[in-house]
Parts: sequence; C-alpha cells; structure tokens
Amino acid sequence: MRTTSRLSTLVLVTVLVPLAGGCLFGTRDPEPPQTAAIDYLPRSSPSNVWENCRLALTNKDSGGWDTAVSENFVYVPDGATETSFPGVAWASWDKPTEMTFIGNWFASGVTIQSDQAQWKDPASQNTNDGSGGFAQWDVIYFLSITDSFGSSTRYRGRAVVEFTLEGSYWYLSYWRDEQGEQDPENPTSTLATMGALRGTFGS
Amino acid sequence: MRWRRPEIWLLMGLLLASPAASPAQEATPPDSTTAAPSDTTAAEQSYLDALEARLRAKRAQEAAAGGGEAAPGGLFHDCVNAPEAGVKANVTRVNYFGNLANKVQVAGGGSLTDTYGYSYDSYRRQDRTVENRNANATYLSGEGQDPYGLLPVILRLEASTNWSEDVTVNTAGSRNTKRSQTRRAGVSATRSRLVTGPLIQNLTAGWYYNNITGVNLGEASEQTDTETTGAVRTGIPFARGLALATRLYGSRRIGDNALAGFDSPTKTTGDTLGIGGYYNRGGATGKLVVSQVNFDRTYLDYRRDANGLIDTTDVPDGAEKIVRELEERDAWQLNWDNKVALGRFNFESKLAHTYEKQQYNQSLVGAKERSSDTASLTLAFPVGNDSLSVTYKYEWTWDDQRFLNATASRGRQYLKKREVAFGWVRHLFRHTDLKGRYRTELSQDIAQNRFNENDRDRLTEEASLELESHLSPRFYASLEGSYLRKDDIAIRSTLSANNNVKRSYEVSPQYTWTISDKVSLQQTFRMYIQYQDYLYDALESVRKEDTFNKRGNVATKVTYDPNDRIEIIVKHDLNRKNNGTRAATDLAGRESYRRDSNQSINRIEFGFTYDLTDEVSLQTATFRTEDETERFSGTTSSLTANRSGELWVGAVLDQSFGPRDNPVSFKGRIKRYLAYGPNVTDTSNDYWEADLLLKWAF
Repeated sequence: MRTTSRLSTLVLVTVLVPLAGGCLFGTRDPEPPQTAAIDYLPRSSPSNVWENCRLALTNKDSGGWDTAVSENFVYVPDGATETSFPGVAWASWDKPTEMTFIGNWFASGVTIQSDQAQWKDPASQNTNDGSGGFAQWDVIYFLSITDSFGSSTRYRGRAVVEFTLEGSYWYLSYWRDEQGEQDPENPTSTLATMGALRGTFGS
Repeated sequence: MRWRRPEIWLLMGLLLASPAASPAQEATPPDSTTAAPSDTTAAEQSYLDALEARLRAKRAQEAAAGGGEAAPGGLFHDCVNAPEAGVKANVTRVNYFGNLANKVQVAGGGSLTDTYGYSYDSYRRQDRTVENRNANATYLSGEGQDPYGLLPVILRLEASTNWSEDVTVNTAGSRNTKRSQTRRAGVSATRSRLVTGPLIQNLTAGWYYNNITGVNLGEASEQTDTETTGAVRTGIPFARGLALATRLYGSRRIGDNALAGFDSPTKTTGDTLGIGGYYNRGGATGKLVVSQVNFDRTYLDYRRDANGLIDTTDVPDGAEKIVRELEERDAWQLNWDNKVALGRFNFESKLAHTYEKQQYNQSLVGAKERSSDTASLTLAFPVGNDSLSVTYKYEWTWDDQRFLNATASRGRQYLKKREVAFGWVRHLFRHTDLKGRYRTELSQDIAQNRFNENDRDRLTEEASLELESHLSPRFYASLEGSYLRKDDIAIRSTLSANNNVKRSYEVSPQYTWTISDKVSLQQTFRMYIQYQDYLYDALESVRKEDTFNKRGNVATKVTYDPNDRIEIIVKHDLNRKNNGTRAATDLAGRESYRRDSNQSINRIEFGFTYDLTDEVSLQTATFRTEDETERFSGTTSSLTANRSGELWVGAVLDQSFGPRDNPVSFKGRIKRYLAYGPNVTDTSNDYWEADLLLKWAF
C-alpha cells in the first residue's frame, strides 16, 4: 500500500510537471510575415557569425543576436567606458546581461546602421576563420545610431573578439573593447566604443 | 533574559555588520563625479591583513621573549613595515607595481597606518600606458576586542590621494591623455554595539573634504565639495528567534563643479530608510525587509539624447553642449526570504518587489520608471528511494519613460518570465544513481500599445537523464542523454519571417579508470545533432531552408605519475562535424538533406611537471591542432586545412630567505610562450607570462 502511494506520488509529479509546463508555457501566435526573412548566414564560420551580428543589429532582431552569441559570452569594456560607467558590474557581464542590453537598446526606438565595410573595417587584422574551433580577431567596427527624435550618435572602436565552435555551430564568445577610434566624418575627434551603449542600456 | 540567546546575538551581529546592508552603499550615486574614492580593494585588504598578521606575530615574539607579557612603551610602539614589489605579464599587458605599508600602534590602543602604492602598465597589443600612484594615511583611536580604551567612540582620521594617467594612441595615431586625481580627507566617529535597554545600536557620523580633478579628450573637469554623513542602525531582539532591525542613513555634499570651461555649484543629498524583521523559530527561518532610497543631485553634465547617450553634435542653436543637470531618484524595495522544514518536506521561497523612478531636468531622457516583481518557490522531498524537487520561478518587470517635454509616456516595455524545473534522483543499487531533470522557461517581451515592433517569445525546454556509477574505487562511468528545444518567436509581422525552432539531441557516455596508482585513463564520447526548422519556410517570400548539424567527439586523457615529483598528461581530442540543408520532402513526407560541409579537428596535448625541489617546479606543455574543412557547392568541393600549435616552458618558485623568524618571501610563476597558426599575431607568437612578487615585513 505504501509502495503504491509512493509510486503514485512519483508518477503524479513526473507527469504533471512537464504537462503543466506544456500548458502554462505556450507561446503567443505570431503574425504571418509581411517582409522577407533576414538573410542570416549559416553559422559555419566566424566570418558568418560576425556578419549575422551586423544583420541582427541593423534589423533590431534580438533573436538573431541571441543565436549568434555564446551562452558563455564575456564582455570586457575599454578603460574610457569603465571610467564613464563606474556603476555597471562589468566584471560579471555575461550572456543574460548582454541580452538585457540588446533588449533595452532595440526597444528604445533607435535606427542602427552599419554596412559590411564599417562593421569589419578594412584596417581590421587577423579576421580569419580560425583553427581547431577557435578564432581571435582584432577588429575595428563602426555604428551609426539615430534615436526616435532624429538625434544621431556614432561609435567606432577597436576590439578583440573571439569565436568558438560549440556543439556544431560557431558562436561569438568574447568581446573586449580596447579603445575608441577616429570618427570617419570628423578625423580630429575620437568616437566611443560600443561599451558606451552597453553602459547605457545594460541595466 | 530569554532573548540573550547566542543565536540572537549572532543574528544581530550579522545584521549590523553586513556590508550588503550598508546604507552608505545604497545611497552612493552611480557616477564617478560624486562617488567617493573607492574603499579598500580586496588586494589592498589582503595586504593590510598580512601587515596585521605580522604585527600579531611580532607581539607574540615579544611576549614570549618578555616572559609572556608584552610591554608597549612610549607614544608609538610596535611598528611594522611591509614593502612589496612585483611584475605581472600576460599576452595583453605588462604590469609593474610596488607598495609600502607601515603600521604603528599608538598609546591608548590606537593605530596609525600609511600605505603608498605605484603601478605602471604597458599594453602589448595597444599603444597604451597607464600609471597609478596613491598614498593613504589613517589614524584609528581604537581597534580589536576593546576599541573604546581612549575615547567612547572609534575615531577615524583619514587622508588620501590617488593619481592616474592613461595615455592611449588609437589606430589613426590620435593620442588621448586621460588624467585624474582624487584627494580626500576627513574624520568619522563610530560607536558599535551600544546597548540601551533592549536596543543594540550602531552610530556613525562623518565629515570629509573631496577634490576630484580630471582631463579626458582635452576637456577638463573638477569637483570640490564637503561631505557630511550620518547613520543609525538599531537592532531589537524582542523575542526568542525574532528580531527587528532598522537603519537610517543621510548624506549631503555641497561644493563647486567645473566641466569643459563651465562652472556651477553642485549639491547632492541622499537618504536611506530600512526596516527588517528576522526570524528563526519553529522550523522557519527568514527575513522580511523594506527599504527606501531618495537621492537628489545638481551637477554639470554633457547634453544627452533621449537614451541618455552624450550627444554634443545635435545641440540646438544657441544652446551649450554643457548643461546644469538636476537628477532625482526614488526607489524602494521589499524582500521576503523564507525557509520552512516540515518533516521530510523542505520549502524555500524568495519574493521581491522593487520600484525605481528617475528624473532629469535637462537630459532628453526625461523621467523613467522601472518595476520588478520576482518569485522563486522550491519544494524538495523524498519518496521512498527517490528524491524530488520542484521549482517555480516568476519574473515580471516593466519600464516606462516620459521623454523631456513630452505630454505622454512612451508605453511600458514588459518582460515576463516563467520557469518550472523538476529534479529527480533515484538510488538504483550499490554505487549507482539515476538522475533526471526537466526544465521549461518562457520569456516574453511585450511593448505596451505596440510602441515598438520588438514583441518576442522565447521558449526553452530541456530534459536530461543520467546514469552514473562508481563501479569500483578505481572505475567510474556515466551515460547521459539530453534533449533541448528552443523556440524563437517574433510576434510582429515585420520580424516573424525568421521564427524558428531548434532541437538538439545529445548522448554522452564517459568513464574514468584508475589503472594503477601511477596511471589513470579518462574517455568521453559525445554524439550531438541539432535541427533548425523555420516556421514560415513554406512561404516563397521567406526563402529560409531548414538545416541540420551533427557532431561526434572523442576526448581521451591519460595521466601518468611515475613518482612524487613528476606528472605527465597526454590528451587527444577528435571532432567530426557535418552541416546540411534540407533539399527535398518526398510524397510520404520523408525529408532528405544535402551535405554542405564536413569538418575534422584533431588536437593532441602534452603536459609535463617536474618538482625539482620543494620550492621549485618546472613545467612545460604543448599542443598541435589540425583542422580540415571540406565545403560542397553543387558538384564541386573545396578543402581547406589549418594547423596551429603552441609550446610553453616555465617554472614556479616559492622561496623564502633571510632571517628565519622574519624571512623575505619570493613567489613567482614565469612562462615563455611560442605559438603559430591563424589566430597568432605578432604580439602572441612569442611572449613571456609572469607573476612575480617579492615581499617582506619587518
């Protein structure tokens, strides 16, 4: 009798919990698409993943960024960003923090522009497809942001980014901004890195 | 009295001493221009602790030499000096540093501590150097077990200066010098554990002078102010297992602020009020805490856009790029943590609510509100040979914004998360367990009144089953199977074309076999396949094709310890990976995929450690990797092969020399790296990694 009771409890819990999960955790019905799909590339190389990051940004598709970024993602800011945003917990910047940043940023009504040559500047170095499931780039990127009031800001930085092969796909796993770089439209001034955006929208 | 139980005093002590509950931290505004110089860092604290340890050892020596009685004499006694110097180098930077600390005891139980530090960083990958200098002097009127020997309060007199200079030259050759200096001096008085009837109180009051100057991107800034703070923390252990604690904190800073040629008075006021009930009674433990923080600040700032980003290029005609900003912030928080043990059942809950409102007078950000409700409930209980746990988590946050001069709010941006997890462990038979886990999480982004197109649902569902067995003391084996599903659903038609579901299946057996006292073998096999299915791939406009990826992996590790001084490790890792795209579906609904690429990665590693003496150890390691990828396009294919490798040799040293009772310590780890391959650059193909520290206390 006691064994039957235990078995009943066990079965009840093991069956009910997943069932409850299935019932309570249904997604909403999406609207049928009215536009073409964002043409993401297969995640079969670091170059494709970097391009997918650009496509996710310029299309404000947080799902695209989520797919491109590793679950073990780490971001390290440059010195100027650390000084400007001392209240941000940079040492614990991980994938969930990165997705909070992306969600807040995309929800702020901005328009993001960066073409392929800006996102991977020709002055970038070592932008190869890696070896042994690992690639490390020394990249210079540029972004132009326009908010809902028409105010525009630009960001250009030099960063060390790393890609790793996890499971069967490549992911962006590490991003360390090193320094802000020259403004292409005003060569006498230096622009901030994307660390300024992460500091603003990351919490 | 019943409430004088040890656990109550312990509880009160923890409550009152808890750094997390410090109101000073809560009221500190998140901005460098008003933030006080940083408190003692972990490294500095460790250094000061070592100094304290040396002082205690010195007293013990003197006590032993004097027949058990330490006899301090004069106004100053028991002086300890602790110099240290070192180098840390890695592929990114080289850091040189030196510190000097001395501490002297003062008659009446007080102490005087001076610290001086210098560091210089040279970056290997960048044209960048960073130099830091700091000095600090602190007088404490009392410390240790009886800190009130001289005065009824602990008096702390403090003066410090920190200087830093960061010179960076960017890729275009443009040089930026970022320089800052912080000077701070002041006094504080603290009375701890003041018992008045049933009340236990901590009282603190302080006054400081601050001066912060800086230059960045050619713009100078300066802030000079005086800071007055006061805090009262009170504990009331009013019944057995029940205690109440309150805290009240207030601060005020008044001074002058200069930024980019503009001057203005600056003022910051902040206060925190908190009250908490703590219980440990009848099988239940927990706390219920409410706190409120208010903060107003007037300061000079750069003009900012609606998102809070500095925007000095879109300045309206006639306006300045610098504004006199007034920032106001109000926040409150409620936390209830509870644990209950009822027979075999253990229940744990954590509930929290936070609300924050922030408003700017000049920034186009305007006013922002943020609210968060979270709950976490866990129930764990045994059923016969099984142990079960069920967890439910809930999070509902929203934020809203009313831009400056706007007549209505933007609309709330919601984030709703729900998660349920189920854990199961069953002891099957001797040394063998079966573990199961199921988890599902739904995360939803919702924009009120559709103020953006970013509505999105993400559903994650995962399950795993693991059989593990310690078949003998020398043999461990496990077998795990897992399933993961991720649905990524954009709700709005502008983004829904990419909606997709990813499903992953994995089987992973592994074993560890200790063949003898000298040799052990570990092998892990992993087979993995993932499918990505697009929900609207049937629509011609979508043009997305379903894909699959599969990967097999064998990792082998052999460890050989021929004697106590030598360890040899050999590892081999073999990966094979195939990518494909769905090519067709036949009349019976069977799907066929075409292969897009094959990849094979081979990696072999060798590590060797030889303990030359108890103080010196020699180490070396190397790896070689071969990566071959074959890509198919129609009837043609291309093959690329990459090879990479690395070798490092190094040593670890832990040596003391000089007087036996007061030795000079040298600890070091140094490695020389040589590497080749596509990831290797001029700065990483041949470099030294070092961590050297020489220290002494006398």
